[in-house]
Amino acid sequence: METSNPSRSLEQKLLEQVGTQLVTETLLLTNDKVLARITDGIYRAPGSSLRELLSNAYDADATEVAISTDAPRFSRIVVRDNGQGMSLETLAYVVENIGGSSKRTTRGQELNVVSRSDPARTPRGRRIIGKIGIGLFSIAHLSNHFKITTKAAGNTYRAHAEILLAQFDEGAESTDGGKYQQGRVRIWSEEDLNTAAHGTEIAVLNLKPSAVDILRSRETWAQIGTAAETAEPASKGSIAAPTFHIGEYSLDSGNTLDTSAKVPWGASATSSERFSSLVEGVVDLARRKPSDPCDLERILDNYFYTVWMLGLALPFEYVKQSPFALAVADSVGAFLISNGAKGQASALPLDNGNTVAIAAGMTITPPPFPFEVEIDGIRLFRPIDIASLPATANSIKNPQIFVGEFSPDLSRIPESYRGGDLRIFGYFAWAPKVVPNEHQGVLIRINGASGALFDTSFLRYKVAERNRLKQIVAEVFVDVGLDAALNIDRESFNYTHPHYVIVQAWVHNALRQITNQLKVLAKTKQKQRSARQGTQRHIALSEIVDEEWMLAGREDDDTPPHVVFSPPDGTGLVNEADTIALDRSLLLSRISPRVKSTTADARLAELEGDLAAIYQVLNAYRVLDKVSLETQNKLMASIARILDLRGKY
Amino acid sequence: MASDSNLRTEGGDEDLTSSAYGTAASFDVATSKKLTPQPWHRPRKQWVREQQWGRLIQEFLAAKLSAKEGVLQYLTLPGPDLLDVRLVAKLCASVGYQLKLLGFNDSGSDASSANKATEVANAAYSADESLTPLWMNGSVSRDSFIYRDSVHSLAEPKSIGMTRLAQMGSMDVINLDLCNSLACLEPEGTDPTNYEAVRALFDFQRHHRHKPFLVFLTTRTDPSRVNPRAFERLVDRMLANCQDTRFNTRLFEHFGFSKHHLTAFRERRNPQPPARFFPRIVLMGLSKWMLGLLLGGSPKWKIELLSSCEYSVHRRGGREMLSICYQCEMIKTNAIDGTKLSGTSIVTTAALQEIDYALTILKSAANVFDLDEYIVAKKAYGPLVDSSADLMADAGYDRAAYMDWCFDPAMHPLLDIPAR
Repeated sequence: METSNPSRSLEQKLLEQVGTQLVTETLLLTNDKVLARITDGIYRAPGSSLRELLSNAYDADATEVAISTDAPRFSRIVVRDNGQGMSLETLAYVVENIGGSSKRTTRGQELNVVSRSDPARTPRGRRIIGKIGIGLFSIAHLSNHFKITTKAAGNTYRAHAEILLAQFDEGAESTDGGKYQQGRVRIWSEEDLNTAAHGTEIAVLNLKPSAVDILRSRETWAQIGTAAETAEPASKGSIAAPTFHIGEYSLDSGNTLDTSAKVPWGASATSSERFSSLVEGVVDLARRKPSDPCDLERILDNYFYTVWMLGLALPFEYVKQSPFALAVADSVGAFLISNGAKGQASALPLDNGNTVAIAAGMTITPPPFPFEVEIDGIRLFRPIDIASLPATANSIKNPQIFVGEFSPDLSRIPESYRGGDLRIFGYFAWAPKVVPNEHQGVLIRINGASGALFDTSFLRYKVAERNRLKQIVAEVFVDVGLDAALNIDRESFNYTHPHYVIVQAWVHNALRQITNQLKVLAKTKQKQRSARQGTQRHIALSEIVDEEWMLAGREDDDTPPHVVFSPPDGTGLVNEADTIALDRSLLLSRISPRVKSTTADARLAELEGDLAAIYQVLNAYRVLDKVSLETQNKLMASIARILDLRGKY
Repeated sequence: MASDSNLRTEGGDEDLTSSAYGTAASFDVATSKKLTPQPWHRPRKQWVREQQWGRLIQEFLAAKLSAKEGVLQYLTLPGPDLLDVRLVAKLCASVGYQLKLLGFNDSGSDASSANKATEVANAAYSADESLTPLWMNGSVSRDSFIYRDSVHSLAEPKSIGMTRLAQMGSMDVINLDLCNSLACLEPEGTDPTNYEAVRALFDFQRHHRHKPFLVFLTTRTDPSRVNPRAFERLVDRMLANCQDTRFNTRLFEHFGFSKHHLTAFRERRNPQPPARFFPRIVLMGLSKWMLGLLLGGSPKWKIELLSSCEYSVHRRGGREMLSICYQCEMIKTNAIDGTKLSGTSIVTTAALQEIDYALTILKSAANVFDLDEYIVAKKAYGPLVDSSADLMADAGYDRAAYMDWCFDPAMHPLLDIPAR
């Protein structure tokens, strides 16, 4: 075997070796064009750029970051952090090595951007979450023009770089021996004798019109305007303004908004209160209008949606309370997930004042020091608040939280295949209704950060649990490993990476235990309810429904929906995945009138019991799956007419 | 520097490619910022910064009057050098406060229409860029921001500036350091003006604050810069007070004119009050206009004139520029129990009337003085050059060159420059 001499082309060498049976070994090389493509922007939304800039600030050990804009005009975006800043040397490395992050490397140690003892950590000990070489250039999604001003403590100068990125052209030839020009940069420095001062400012200038349009929700406002102009009443109101927004602004409006901002906080709210008001505002909507889909994309404009998603993406504190810190006062049930392939979750006692984490024997290490970010005066938090999720008429009314951790022993796997060690922990919170819808699923966090949204498929869980999966919000935290499985956009995973496969298996094993446990809980509740309702008839009906549910092949799926009948004024009831509220007034209008009496009430209760059972059986066979609620009500009222004849003729 | 992304049109026959491209950006010329001292860099302005703005802010902070603990919220119209911001930030840092800035800078708005938006954006960004060392050393908050808008925009409740103000909450200090006259525009104009902006600002403060706040106003007072109709209305405000003998008498005592002169002007017997009276009328007229704004709404506030001085711009002793400092304070009154259930004694002192506040303003306004003369008399020029040079050096100017400029009589023909 011969190792290729780089001075001769591989192609030339192979041609020379035809028929010689000589084997050539050479290095695998990547084409710089790939990096050029990345630099131009591999991200899906302008928010991704901000996420990457915040990740860089986090990795620079910043404790405070401010993002300032003149929203909704967005003539510029300025990100300022009090991190360690960059020397000219580091700055030069960054602009000359796009994509070649110095993080997690010995070069990073030389440049003092990572810990001297552990290149996977920052100098002050945070686990690194970003890759500066790419992250910085994610700005391309927002603009081709930005400026960096940075100062490291101890230095007597501030370093500046002004960058003009070129628009990527797939067909363009390389300009410099295989290197692709990404744009131009000017670097200079100026004296700053305040040696204690440190930090970095990134000013994104000349934002792309398309990015501004997204940030100011131009399309949404345009649709609203069009709908308002349409004469047909049907189209009016079909598109409503987001519930919370930063206002409508068009570029020809100068410095004035066309529609004033609508925010869920008062004038005196602090930056932290603003964010918690946003979260409460969304949850409150779900409470007040339970039948409306609680989609963030409908409730928030793109700006607030971005704020929300940034809150999810970075290692922030929870807006109120960590799910691991929930306790008996929060009215939650808690369970520990087993790591055995056939294990079952076990209940965790919280009645002795323990938090979920303590009861589970888990040690949740707090971050070594704070990371506080404000965007236009709104302090970011993780917008997840399990305890405040709205209750419904579901048989299980309180959130149930399942926690676990897993550190597989991979020592038997050869090191070159192992991909390093893996350590994960997480929670799966079941609630009658997960709010907002975008939180349904599992979010994988590496070192506390995530570029991905909640995965509603739960890493492609194949078991049919459509309803129950919609009621689960989960976060899996990866302390060690998995980083290599993260694709370069940091928003998706390489599904075949062994660490990903292990995480997937752990999540699916957890889901199996959770659904089993929830079925047990639901069954118990159902029996309690039947016992309360008290009649043998009820118990018999319940048994019939359960049996039919099994016969219909639904044993691995949900439990039958709970059926209730709305009072005459129709208030106080909800239509949830597990609960159906049938219209009692419609029912009464279709059966023969009856005089108010105890007997009549009992007969009505019996009729409703029978109808509920019929409804559940129809549901078991999915007869009603594609039938609107209105038609369902009409159908049940028709059946009621027939049942009402019993004993009359 | 940032090019203008506003060039495309909205709606209508919008080109399908309009969202795809911004205009091509080029490197910022600000990297080679021209750092030549300008007329507004004269050391006398340092006296205004130190002895008016600085001293009053120090007293304000010492009295713990800021609305938020440890933070001074400061609305200003900074130039690219941020000289006022630098001084105020230092003062704040010396007593453990952080300065939180809301800036408006629409320099360049008088540029040719094709480049106007770009020029304005550049000027605002250039000023914002100068904030970098200040937030890095912690004396200015990281979320301070300078908007590319005119302060006029505050007149519009739906403006971006007003939206930001509403988000920040009330200001502790409002510094309206104008190059022109506050009263340069036609009254009741259709476009937003200084008048509406000040009214909106005062209303905002009134509704979002309990503690006093400071207002600094720098304004031209020469007839060529003051709108004649606006001037007439300022005169009318004073004439109304002249019905009160005390006011009329004191006006004459302090400033040498009275109802007689003002009436002659209003009845067109004189085309204009004598030039020597003009700045005084503007001083009193604007002060009383602001008093009217604060007293007129609810809750009622009063305004107190704390300090005022004048200096020349175009001719020796011209006193065309006026620097005034005010403190605004809510008027708190106790309830009077007309039913006499509470048993408290009936308050016998009558509530103060507009004339009472006007008299107080008049008394303070009498202390207005010529800053150019004062500096000569007090031999303050040298020390002012020194401290001004420090600020200028912080802003990137060459300290020695600046001092040479300060001591070069040819650069300051209207002033008596002492030998170095």
